[in-house]
Amino acid sequence: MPDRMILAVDPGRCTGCNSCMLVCSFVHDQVFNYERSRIRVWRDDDQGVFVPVTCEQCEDAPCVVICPTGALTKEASGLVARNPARCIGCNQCLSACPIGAISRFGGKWRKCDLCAGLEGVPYCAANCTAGALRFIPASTVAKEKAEKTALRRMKAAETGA
Amino acid sequence: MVDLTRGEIQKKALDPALVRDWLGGRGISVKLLWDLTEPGIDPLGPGNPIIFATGVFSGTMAPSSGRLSITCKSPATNLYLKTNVGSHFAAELKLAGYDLIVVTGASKTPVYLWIDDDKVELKEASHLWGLDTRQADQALKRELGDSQLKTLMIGPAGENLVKFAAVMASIYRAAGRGGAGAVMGSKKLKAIVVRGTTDLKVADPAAFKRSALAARRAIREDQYCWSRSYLFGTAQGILGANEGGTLPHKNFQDGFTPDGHTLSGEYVSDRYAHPEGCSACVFHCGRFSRVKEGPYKGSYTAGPEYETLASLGSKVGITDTAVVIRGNELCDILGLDTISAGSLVSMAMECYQAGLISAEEAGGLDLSFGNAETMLKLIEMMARREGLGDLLAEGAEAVAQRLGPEARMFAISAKGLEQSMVDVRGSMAYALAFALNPRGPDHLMTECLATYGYTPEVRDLAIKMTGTEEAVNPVSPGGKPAMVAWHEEIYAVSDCVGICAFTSTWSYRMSFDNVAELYQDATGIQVGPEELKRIGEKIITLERCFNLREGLSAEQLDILPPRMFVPSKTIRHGEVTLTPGKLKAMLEEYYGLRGWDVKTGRPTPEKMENLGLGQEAGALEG
Repeated sequence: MPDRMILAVDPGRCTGCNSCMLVCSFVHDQVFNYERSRIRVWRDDDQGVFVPVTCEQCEDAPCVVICPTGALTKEASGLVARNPARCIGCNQCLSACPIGAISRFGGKWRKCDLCAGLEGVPYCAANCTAGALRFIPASTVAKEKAEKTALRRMKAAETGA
Repeated sequence: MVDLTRGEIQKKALDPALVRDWLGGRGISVKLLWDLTEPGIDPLGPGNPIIFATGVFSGTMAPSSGRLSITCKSPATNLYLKTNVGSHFAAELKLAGYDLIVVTGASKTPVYLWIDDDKVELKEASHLWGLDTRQADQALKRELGDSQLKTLMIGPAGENLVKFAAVMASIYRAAGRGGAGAVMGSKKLKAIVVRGTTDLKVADPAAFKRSALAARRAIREDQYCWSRSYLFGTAQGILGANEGGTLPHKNFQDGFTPDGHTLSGEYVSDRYAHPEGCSACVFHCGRFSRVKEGPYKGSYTAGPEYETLASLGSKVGITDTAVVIRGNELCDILGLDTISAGSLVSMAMECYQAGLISAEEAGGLDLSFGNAETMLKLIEMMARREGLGDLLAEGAEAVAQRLGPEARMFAISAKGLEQSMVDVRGSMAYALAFALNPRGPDHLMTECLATYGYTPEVRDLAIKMTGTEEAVNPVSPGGKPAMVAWHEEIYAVSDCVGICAFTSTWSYRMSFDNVAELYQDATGIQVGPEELKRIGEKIITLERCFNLREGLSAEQLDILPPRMFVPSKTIRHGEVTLTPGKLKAMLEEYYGLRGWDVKTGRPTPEKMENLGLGQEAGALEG
């Protein structure tokens, strides 16, 4: 499988600033409205936990499988693309998506389209200064995590912990 | 418009004249407060309105634009109060379709205001009365069936009319100063809850896209401020202040805390805290802390901020950050301003040390500096007005009045407000700003950080705005009046458009220029940078006039706590840095710059006419 560019979400780094939601809504619809955003940040204000949820562009996307008209397709770039012209509004994709990344608002269906925003990076990631959203090669995610784990273990070995 | 006496809600379109003359947010609020009040009204009575104002940019992607202004007459000072809070409340309110909420009168029974887009209603809150902010936030989200709501509420402290009760946004973010929480408490208004799902439009989307994204980029490119902010939060200033001898220690007796490094942003972020951000923020200076071991295991809260680390830490002789976090948590859930709360604790400790409070009056508490359990107990006692807490809840100067003249030195407070955690003996810009601040001695109407010249750009800006290199010598009065005037104006404008002062001061990446551009792109209204500055001056002037209208003179208004004229051993060895004479000279230079009467410190009728305040001038003289 080719190493795709993905919109990597790290909830541990999310500060709950909602910049992504505001930017996404605006660059797509020219107005500000969290409901129009294709990325949704869920917040637990009491616990200080914030989790962005958006389309993961699944390799084997259930929404693509279920769509009766072929309005949803997996592109070569990795994007699960939505063609509004073919959509009949049957709503099956809403239920098929295990993440809840396809939303319906104002009579339209919407999902992340990996908008080519600032310098080819989706607008949300380009405007996330907390590092919770990054447009990076998929292989980077595991590599970074593994490196962090290794450094932790090296440190423990040095200190004899 | 919410009339709590009648239980009536009225929606009105915002008067375009108000917008044209006052910009938005804090500007519109001060004009409304002036018009809706008479001098001498009781701040805790039904005649005191409380105005919740979004910024013009709130709810948009303009950087760090989520600030909410709350304006009323202060129960602590009996003077003008503007208090401000971040989080997402202002954004959500704007997305629900509202610019301001004006609350008047008082309800007989506890209520909360529920705003769900165009549906606005007052609801029963007796079952919420007495709950802390965490409990009430949970209860409201459950009863309204939405975990993502934005809440603004008071805790038991506000209900008990504590003079420094705060208004808390989403549990932990505080509009802390001046007792706005007590004003809500006196109105039996427990909370305002909002959900906003309408479309927020701008006048010129293409232009706004360019200018807003450019502003975001400009701020992110300030690597100095961004990295310190993101990595360490506002606590980034603790270490430097301590090393410089200006971090309040033991009730401002001096400015150095031995082993104070455990209160630093570096230490706190390493051990306890991760970043949080307000609406559309670039900096993420917010913190969220959790104590995972030791006697305070299980404590968690947003923060601690610089002010809290000083107020509940160094100033009371405590260096254990876990204690500060627990104290912060208590203040947040009880709805207390941490700055004032810590000031009352350290005052009580010094009074006890001086024998002005007996062990009996202390109810068996050991009020020695550094006693963590005592501090935590006092916080609860103040919020609930129990025992000694009932006296402390009245504020430092009220305590001094009860305990006698010797106690006045131990009240680090002026005009009825406790001073924030900057030792102004080490910073003339802050000394002047604190004296002039209409709500009392704190930094949140100016924030003259440029005086520290921490980057070449900031240094150049400081020298440019004052015309002298003395501007970046903190202990010299040179250039400080001009610096304070400039900061007052940019801060006022920031509070009108709802942007965080860290973008327009500290980082200085938001200026009159790009705010003017964003304002036009967002609203379609053309206001040049010079005009913005002028409106800032107009706001400052009317705020001062509000206080003058209450019958106070400049001599009574432009003051600092008495201890600020007692030399601090840790700023300059034995050298006196601030004297009444030095302050007076700076004040007179400032009055001159403002075009006010230098002798009386009052804006002249001509000056007011010039600013478009002719009507208000008449009311003031008459």
